Order: sequence, then C-alpha cells, then structure tokens
Amino acid sequence: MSLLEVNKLNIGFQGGDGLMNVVTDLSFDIEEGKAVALVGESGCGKSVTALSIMRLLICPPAHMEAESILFEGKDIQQIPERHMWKLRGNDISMIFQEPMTSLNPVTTIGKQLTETIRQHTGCSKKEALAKAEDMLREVGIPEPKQRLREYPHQMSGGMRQRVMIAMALSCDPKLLIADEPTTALDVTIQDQILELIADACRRRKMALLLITHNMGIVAEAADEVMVMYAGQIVEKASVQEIFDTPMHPYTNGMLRAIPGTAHTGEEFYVIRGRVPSPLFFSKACRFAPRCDHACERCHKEAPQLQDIGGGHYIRCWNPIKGGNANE
Amino acid sequence: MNSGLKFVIKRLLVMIPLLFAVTLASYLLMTITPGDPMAMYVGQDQLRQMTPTQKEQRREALGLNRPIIVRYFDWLDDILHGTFGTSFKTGQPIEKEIGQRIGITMSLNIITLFLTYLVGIPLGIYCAKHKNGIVDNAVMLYSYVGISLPAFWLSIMAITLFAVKLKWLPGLGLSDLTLKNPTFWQEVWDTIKHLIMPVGLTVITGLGSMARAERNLYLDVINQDYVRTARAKGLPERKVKWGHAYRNVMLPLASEIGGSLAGLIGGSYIIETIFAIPGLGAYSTNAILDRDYPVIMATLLMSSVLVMVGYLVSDILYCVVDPRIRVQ
Amino acid sequence: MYLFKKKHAEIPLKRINSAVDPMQDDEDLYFSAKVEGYWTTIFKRFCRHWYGIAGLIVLAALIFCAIAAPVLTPYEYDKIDFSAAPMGQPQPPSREHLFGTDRLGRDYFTRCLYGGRISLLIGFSAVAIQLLIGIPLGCIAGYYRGIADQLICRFIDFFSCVPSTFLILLVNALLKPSMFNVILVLGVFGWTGYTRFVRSYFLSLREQEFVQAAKAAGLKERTIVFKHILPHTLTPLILSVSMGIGGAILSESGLSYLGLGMQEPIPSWGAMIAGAQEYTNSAPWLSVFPGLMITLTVLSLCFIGEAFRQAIDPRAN
Repeated sequence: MSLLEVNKLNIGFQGGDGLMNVVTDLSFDIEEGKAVALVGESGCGKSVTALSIMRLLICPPAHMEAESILFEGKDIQQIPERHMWKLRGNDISMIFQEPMTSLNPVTTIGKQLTETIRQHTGCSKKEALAKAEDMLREVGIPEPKQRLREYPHQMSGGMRQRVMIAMALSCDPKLLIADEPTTALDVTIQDQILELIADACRRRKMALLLITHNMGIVAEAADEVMVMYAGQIVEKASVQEIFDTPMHPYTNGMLRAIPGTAHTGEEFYVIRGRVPSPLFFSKACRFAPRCDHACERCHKEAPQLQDIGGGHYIRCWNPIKGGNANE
Repeated sequence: MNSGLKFVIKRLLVMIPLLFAVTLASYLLMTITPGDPMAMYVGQDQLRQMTPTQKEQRREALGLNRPIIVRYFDWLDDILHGTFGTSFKTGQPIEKEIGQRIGITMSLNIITLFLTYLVGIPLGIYCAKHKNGIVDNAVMLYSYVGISLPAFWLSIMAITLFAVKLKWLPGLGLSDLTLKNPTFWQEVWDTIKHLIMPVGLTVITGLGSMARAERNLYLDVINQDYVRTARAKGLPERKVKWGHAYRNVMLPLASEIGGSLAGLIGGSYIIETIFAIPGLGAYSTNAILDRDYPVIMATLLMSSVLVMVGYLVSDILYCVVDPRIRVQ
Repeated sequence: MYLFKKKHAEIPLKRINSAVDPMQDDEDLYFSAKVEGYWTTIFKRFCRHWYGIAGLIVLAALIFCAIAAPVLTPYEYDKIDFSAAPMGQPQPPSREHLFGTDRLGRDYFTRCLYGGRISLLIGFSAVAIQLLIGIPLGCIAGYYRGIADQLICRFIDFFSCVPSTFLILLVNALLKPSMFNVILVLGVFGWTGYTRFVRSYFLSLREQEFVQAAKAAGLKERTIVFKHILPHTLTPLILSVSMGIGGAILSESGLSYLGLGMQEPIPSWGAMIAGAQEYTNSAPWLSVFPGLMITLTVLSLCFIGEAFRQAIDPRAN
C-alpha cells in the first residue's frame, strides 16, 4: 500500500460565469520514504494540488473533487473538517514558498513552534520549548534558545524558511509537502535549504512531495519525477529516466531550457508560447499548440497517460524516440 | 533602550513643535480680529466702565503696548501657568470653566468609541465570514446611510420623536435638575437616560463604517499566508482564528483610535450644542457664535491637545500590540 | 500596472474550456481576446451594481432639478405670501404646495429645489478648490520629496491635529457669511486628505519600474509626472472626490444650521432645518423634507463612489 494515493483529482475555480478547471484527472501515488518531485511551469496547477491534499484550498472559490485521496488507506475527503487538524502537521506537513509572509509577524518564533508541538503531542509548555529548541538546532539555526524569543521580522528569509522546516518536522510527519521551498530565497542559500529538506527526509524515512519548476532541484532531491502541464501529468518516471531519456516533447523542452546544458554557440532554447489560461485548454493534446513535435492527431484527439515500460508513463501521441535533452 | 519607548518619545518630540504651531496660529488668528485685546484680561463690562487714562495705565501694566511677539510669549507663559484669561461673556476665568467640560466631552467620546468598537468589530467579522450575504450587503448600504445622515438633523428628529412626542427619554442636558435628593442609583439611571440619545445616535451613524472597515481588514488577514500556515500545522479552526487571525485584525484598529477620536471631537461641536451637553464642543461653538475670543483661543488649543493625546495613545497602543515596532 | 495602458485587455470570462474549437487551436487564440477600452471596462463593471446606477440616476435628477428649478415650479423661493400661511401657521403638503409652506407662506418645494442649487454648487466648488490645492501639493511632495515634502507633511500634521470643524466654524464666523466665503473656507481647510493620498501614491509609483524606465529613456520630469504617474492616481481619487463632495454638502448644512452659512432669504437645506426647529412638533414636514434631501444627495454620491471603487478594484468581480 502506498503512503499517499491520489485518484482522479479535479480542481476548479469559480470565476465569472463558469468553473475553470485547473487540474484534470490527476492521479499519482507516493511510496513510504520516497521523494517525488512535481515539476511544471507556474500556473500549471502544482500548488493547488499540494493544497488540496492538505484540504487547505479555500472553497469556494476553489472546488475540488477526487475519486479518492488515500492516506495510509484512509480517504482524506471523508474526514470531517473538525478532525482534519489531527492529520495536518502531524501526519502530513507542508512548507510554503514565501517564508517572509508564512510566519505570523506578531507572535514569537517560540510560540509558533510550541503551539504546533503542544497541539499534537499534548505535552507541557516546558517540554514543548525543549523540543522546539532541539528542532531549531537540527535545522541549523545558531543560538536556538535566544531565537525562540525573537519575532519573524528579526530573521532573514533563509532563517525563516529554516524555522518553517523545523515547524513542519517537529511532529515527525510521514509525508512532507514542500511547495517551491527555495524559490523565494537567495540563490546562495537555496542549495543549503534543499539539502536540509532532503537530509531530514532521508534520516526520518519520511516521504517528500517536492513541488518546483526548477529541474536542477529535481535532479538533486527526487527519486521519482512527475511533469505536469496545464493541469495534467504529461510524463512520469524515475529521475534517471527523465534526465536520460525524456520522451515527452515538453519534458525534453524543459531540460533543454536549463541554462548551461546547451552547447556553446547554440541559441538558447525556449519553449515557444506560454501556458494557456485554464479558460483555453484544448480538448485535444493541451501541449500541441506549443509543441515542435505535434502531428495531426495531436490537434484532434486527447492522448491518455500510458505506461511505456519500466514505470515510465507519458501522455503523448508522438513521443521523442530515444529522446535526448541535448540532441 | 527599548525601541518601543524610543518610538513613543520620537512621536512626542514631533508633537512639541506642532503644539507650538497651534498656539501661534490661534494667537495670531485672534489678534488680527477687531476688538480691544485688553478685554481678554479684564473682562468686557469692566472695560466699558474704564476711562481712557485708566485703560492706558492698565494697558501699560498688562504689557499690551509691547510688540505682538512678546505678547504672544506672555500669553504662552500664562497658559503654562494654567491661566487662560477671562471669558468675555461670563467674566469667569476660562480654565475653571474648561476643566470639567473636557472631562464630559472625553467621557462621552470614549463611551461612544467603546460602544462602536464593541458592536462594530463582531458585526464586521460576521460580515466577512458571510461575505456578499444579505447581512454583509445590508451593512454596506447601512454604512453609507450612516455617513449621509446629517447629525444635527437626526438629533433634532430624535429629540422630537423620543423626548417631545413619546416622552420616553429626556431631550436636553446631562442630568435632571428637578430630581430632589436622588439616591446613587437614581442618579446613575438618570445619567444613562440622558446619554442614550447623544451617544446612541453617534454610535448608530458610525457603526456601519466601523463594521465595514473591520470586515475588509478581516478578509485581508484571513487570506494571509501565516493563517494558512497555522491551518497547515494542524491548529483547530478555533485556535487559528483566536491565535492568529483576530489578533492581527485588531492591530490596525489600535492605530485608528486616534483618528476616530479626532472625528468624534469634530462631531461634538454640533451634537453637544443640540443636546445642550455642557462639554467642550458646545462651549466652543457658543464661544464662536458669541465671538468670545479668549474662550475660542483656549478651546482651540485644548481641542487640539485632546486630538494629539488621542494620536499619542494610538501610537502607544500600536507599540504594545505590534512587535515590529517594539522590537528591532 | 495595466492602468497605465489605455487599452486594457480583459479576457472575457464567458469562454470556458470547451468553447474553444480544437481545430482552430493556434497560438494566437490565447492572446487575441477581445480588447476593449479601459473606461468601457470600468463602466461595464460599474453598471453591475444597482446602487451605482441608482446613485447616478438620483444625482442626475437632483442636478437637473437644481438647474431647472425656475421651470419646474410656478413659485419664487423668496416670495412671501401670507395668504398661504394663515396666522403665520405653516401649511402641510397639499396639491398647490407639494411640500407645504413655511410660516411666511413660501412654497417649501420651491425652496427645497433652490436649496439643492446651493448645496450642489457649494459641494462641487469646495471640492474643486480642495483638489486644486491638494493634488499639486501631493505631486510635489511625493515626486520631489526633500524639503518640500517635509514642509507639506508638517502642514498636514498641523491640520490633522486641529479639528477642522472648529476652524471652519471659526473662520466662517469671523468672515462675513456668504456663499463665496463658505466655499473658500471649506476648500481651504479640506485639502489635506487629497494631498496625503496623491503623495502616498507618488511615493510608491516613483519606485516602480515603468517610472524608472521613463527616466532611463530620458523623458522630461514634467512628462513623467503628468503622463505617467498622475493618471494612475486620479482613478482611485474619484472615490475620495465623491465622498468629499458629500462631506462638503454636510459641512455646509451644519454651518447654515448654526447660522454661519447661507443667510435668509437664500434657501439652504441646513438653514431651513434650523428655521423649522420650533415647528418640529406642529409642522414636522418642514424639518423632514430638507433633511431627506441632504441625505439623498450625499447617499447618492456615496453609492456612486462605492460602485466606482468596486469597478476599479481588480480583485472584485
């Protein structure tokens, strides 16, 4: 049994006169202790997917429905809202993109850490403080005792993200969802934070759902990769497979667009066009209008996600054969 | 040093030149108007009985022959010693008359402010939780009706209806002078009855805007990332609201108390006049209507001081509730 | 940022996924959504709110009545006619006198119409003066900063400490009461809000890339201020302006009520309420009508402002 099993997740937003579908029939699962990356351009539905697993989407205007979202065999959708808190922070934790705004500005770091710990373990204030101090030390914050008394505005963005990580790890969750944890940070600390997350997961045998648009990060931290485009998974494979033999033209394009992989003198590769608004998703292949590889069928019929052997799935009529990012 | 204290001291230092400017402005405004400035010191009736030589001697003694700047500093010196001169109309020392009136005006405004916040905040939060519902839309319309009603007209209408026609409430003043040897509770009840209309009307007209402001604040805060964090880490909804949302909703309110108080003081000029409440507002209005210059100068100064105190209290409150200012 | 462009593309929300023919699936389709003028969009969004339309209609009617007052009524506002008020008793509303008559037998409906002239004239001109003073000072403070900004800010601080009602009452009492003076006093003591507003907009806008870009492109400062920053400020300012006109009308009525504004026989709603005070019990219509007129006028201005605010708020639907 997988730790998390998402079946046919659909997410829409109520807007103007209709429901805009931003995520369509999304299915995937995460094994215990595995790190899975969800990759895609901004606006393709990655973050709402993460939020919907935690049931943190604000509905309305959002609207979600799924055949099932099983966590340890139990359907999250069946849990009444008043019991959801037992799951959040305890079994599944989340780290957000914006460390600058994700901490309450008027409450001390200590208070924000201990309230999580006390909520889930029911321990005393003193025990919780000791635990919070340990957590801060674990995520590499110097002088943790003093830091507990400080407010978020007294810390840098990197420090705050460390606090967020400490908070997320403090109750030993089984699954950590990291929603673009390094995007808002300085390039110099991005690596440190990513390593911190990957390390913590390995040590605690914790599963990780890493959401990012950065292929470099994927290579460092993930075991398995899901590439998402316009609300659908277009390719899913192990991290080796994705980097060595990307089959979907979109994945291929993404890999070619990483600066530094192109040969000198070659023009820098970009995927033409941009992600369509959910209002204009095509009925056929959603990537076809931007695809260099599209054939006639691509414009007429919607492809399904199919196994092409070895746990490699793609959604494409005309995949790149023996694809190479640097062909 | 505590940076919060620093912040408050800095605000205080800004206020000193402002206070100075207010005194200068009110002095200049009054000295350029016609009339013998000596009347301020000896009273108008006495002035009329004096012979020209007496006047000249008195003028000399009071130092009124000296240049205007020197006289301004004399006046300032008097104020610092607690003397504001004599009212043209009553011949009484102004500081005596002003003292208890300030108390009345301030208590009235504080009660009004308290009640407005007490009802407005929960109402605003309710509206935010049921955004675009019937109550929310009704409150939105109601807030604009509240702003649009002329306060003096509403007061007159209320007095006519409740005091004259229905005789439910007393219409004027703050206490019933016909009450003979009232007990303590009788006196309290009497005061409450007198306060219902002036306070109630101000609360009713201001309530809508207050609730609207609170609603928008709440909607702002509830969509903040840190509220989502609080949910994500597994706090039950009750703790999310009380621990993270409400507190941040209260923050901006603290900084607005000063502005609200200034607004209420501005409104008290007409409200107090209509309800014949012996407060600073009615006192100022009557002084203006009677061209009672020494009183005008004193009340202008005192109203400004009250408003400044209001802003200062706001600053202090803001410091207390928001660590971003308190701790650097 | 899109306020800057006069042509502003709004993707019509009516088109949902399935509305797009897959055969026509070429790149252009995503971007060639119908482009309509910025003000057309705003006006359409304004019309979504019933109170905005109601406010516009009522205000238009009031303005029309004020202008066309001599045509709309056979009476004159200051014609004393004791036969219409026997024994100095005000008459209740009747077929001849829609709103009744006051104690001098003057037609109250006529006086209410002419009162609208005064109120609207004072409201609009006072705010015009406020804007004439407030906007340039705000531009100067926000764009050039430095000493000019310091000076203007201290000035605003001063006005925020002194209750403006007091100053308005006082200066009006010192001057000879007349319409011109009321407009002047309301204008001179009410501009600080606009200055603060424009200044804060300028402070944030001057840091934005498009202003930096305009500077880098070597545009003259005057061009930057008038063509690139000011237009952004003016749209949100319309809300404050409509509320400001309402506020000025209320202030004028308060002044007139205290006898510091319009003087007899000029009809002003505030003065009419003051004159009717001794009749509130015996002839309540004398107070009710002018009070309702004030409320209606200010309310319609508020509604227009609110609907406009909703229309320019990109978050509101």
